[in-house]
Amino acid sequence: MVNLVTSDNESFTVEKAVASRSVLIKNMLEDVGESDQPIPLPNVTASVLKKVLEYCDHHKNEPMPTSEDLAAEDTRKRTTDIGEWDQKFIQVDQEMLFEIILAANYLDIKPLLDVGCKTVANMIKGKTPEEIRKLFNIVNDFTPEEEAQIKKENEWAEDR
Amino acid sequence: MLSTLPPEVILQILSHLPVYSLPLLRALSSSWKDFLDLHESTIYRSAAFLHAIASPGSSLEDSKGTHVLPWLDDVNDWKSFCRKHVGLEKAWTGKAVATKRSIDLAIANDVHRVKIDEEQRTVICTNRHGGLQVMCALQSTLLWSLPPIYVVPYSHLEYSHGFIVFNRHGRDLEVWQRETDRGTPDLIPRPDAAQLMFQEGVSLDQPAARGRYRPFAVLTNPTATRAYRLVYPHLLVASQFAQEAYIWHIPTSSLIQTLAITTPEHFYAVDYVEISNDHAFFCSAGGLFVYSRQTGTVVFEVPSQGSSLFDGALSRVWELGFQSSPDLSTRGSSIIILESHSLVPLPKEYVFRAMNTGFATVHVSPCGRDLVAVSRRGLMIYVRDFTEPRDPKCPAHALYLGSGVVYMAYDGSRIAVCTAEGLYCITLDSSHSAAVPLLPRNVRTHSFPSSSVQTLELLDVSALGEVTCLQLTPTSLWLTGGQPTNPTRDICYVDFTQSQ
Repeated sequence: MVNLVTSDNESFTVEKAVASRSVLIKNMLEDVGESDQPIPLPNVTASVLKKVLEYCDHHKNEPMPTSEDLAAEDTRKRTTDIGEWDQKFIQVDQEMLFEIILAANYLDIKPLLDVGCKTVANMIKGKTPEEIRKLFNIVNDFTPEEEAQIKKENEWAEDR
Repeated sequence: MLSTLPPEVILQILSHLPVYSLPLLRALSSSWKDFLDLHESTIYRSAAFLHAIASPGSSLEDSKGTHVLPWLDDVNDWKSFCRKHVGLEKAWTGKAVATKRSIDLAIANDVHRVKIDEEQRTVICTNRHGGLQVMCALQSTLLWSLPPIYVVPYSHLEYSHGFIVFNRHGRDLEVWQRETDRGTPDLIPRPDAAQLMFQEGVSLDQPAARGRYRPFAVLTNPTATRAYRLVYPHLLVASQFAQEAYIWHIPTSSLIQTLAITTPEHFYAVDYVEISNDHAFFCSAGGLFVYSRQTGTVVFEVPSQGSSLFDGALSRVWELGFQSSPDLSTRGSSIIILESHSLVPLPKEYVFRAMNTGFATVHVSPCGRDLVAVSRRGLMIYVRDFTEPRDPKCPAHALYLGSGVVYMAYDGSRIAVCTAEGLYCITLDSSHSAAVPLLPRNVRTHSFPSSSVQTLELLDVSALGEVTCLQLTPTSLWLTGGQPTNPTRDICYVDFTQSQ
């Protein structure tokens, strides 16, 4: 078992197989060897870690992606495909979604980061700039002239 | 909140977005615009991989590939690369203009067959009155030729990977190799004396060398030949009278397999053949038959009488409906716009009638899994994974294109068909590659597995029957003809690369 301590000082005890989905933790465990020392995770809060561990627990028996797999991922379906369980799992509010992505990036859990990024990409897809701004609270700071200029530069990608 | 993410994570998010979504992000705010401009190369490189117009890890230079048209020659960045591809896709699907061009009549005026060498940017053709020419595709200059006294009239021409094949007489087929490939290892040339008379000592540093060919072999078939097809390294030859076909291995100039054509419809002469790594395809009045090269048995068939291919699935047979002209103002003499069609179901009685005189032509996708065939009466069938057991709900797709089929070309993602009634371009929905389409998918036409079926008004209807050959490249469509009022037959092509 591995003991993880979050930024808000909550402690989680999980199976090694679960914690090792995180390449960061896996490497730490390999470096320190067998030890009961708790592992501090100063960039992750308890509510986020709970969610991340839920993902790790579900996927604990899957083979870890090798660097070859990750390269092959590019050639394979790397599009919008998200597994059914993952899709349900990632149905969270936007704040939590970004927290999960940040945690997955920090903890180095590639498949989870990928699910998060694809989810955000799917939110953007098919939306107008105005809709995207609204979705992510982005303030339009262009002058009308600048806006017209950008629209002109973007014409090539428009679908008739 | 998106801005709280580190740049590498944002880049990863963007790598899942289709290319047409990316410019919109520049319009969000100045910080987004700056971010996209700063990482432009990375972002568009990922987009090129997403759309499979470049393979992961490959450089921009390698991703350009070789094309008969110089459309990517000036491209120096990934964004322009993506942009060019979007424009190309738009032109093929009638959302942007294409340009009609032709090869100078003085050089080629009675063309029978035409082939394109994308690597050396040459056009190779045989003539009705005999002879063979190789021309520079862009400047229409003659680079090399064989005289009419040597190449028989109406010679069928095949080209693949720097090799050309044409018929001599009776049982003999000539094989010539591109001069620039001279000295390729593991090849065993076996030219005969007649060929060597036309061998020219030419130095490779001459600009014209790219169009020259050297004698490679004469393949003497066991019987007189009728139809043949070269997909390097194999050449499939159907016999004229014997019920058999021969497969030659070009690098060693050797006959490696004789296929017995055993189908009940064998008494029909084979009109058209196609070959892939695993299969040999035959079209005749008796139907369409696909043989396994390994077992020599039929693995897929559409007999002209009593095919069960469309039993219970007639809703999947279509014909062209309304034509919608796109609203593009810049029409001119050489400007062409593909016109889109809606599709309507074809009445059941026509389906069987459209197949009962057999098939005229068949082609297989480069991956070897899908085929397109057109019946003599103009029913085009598209069968994905033709060797797999048919799913009764999804047996095959068919589209009726009108009678008088002249020629069909298929490259795995597009189909071009010329019938006596029209010239058609069909862009198939991306198949096995699972690549994301370059343009947003049009949900309106979801009847044939294609986002778009287009008519190309290139020739007068009266001239369509004169077309003797049609060639498809990723950037262009080539055909013989082009002068409806003139009995000579030149070469014209549609350039889809010019839209901005």
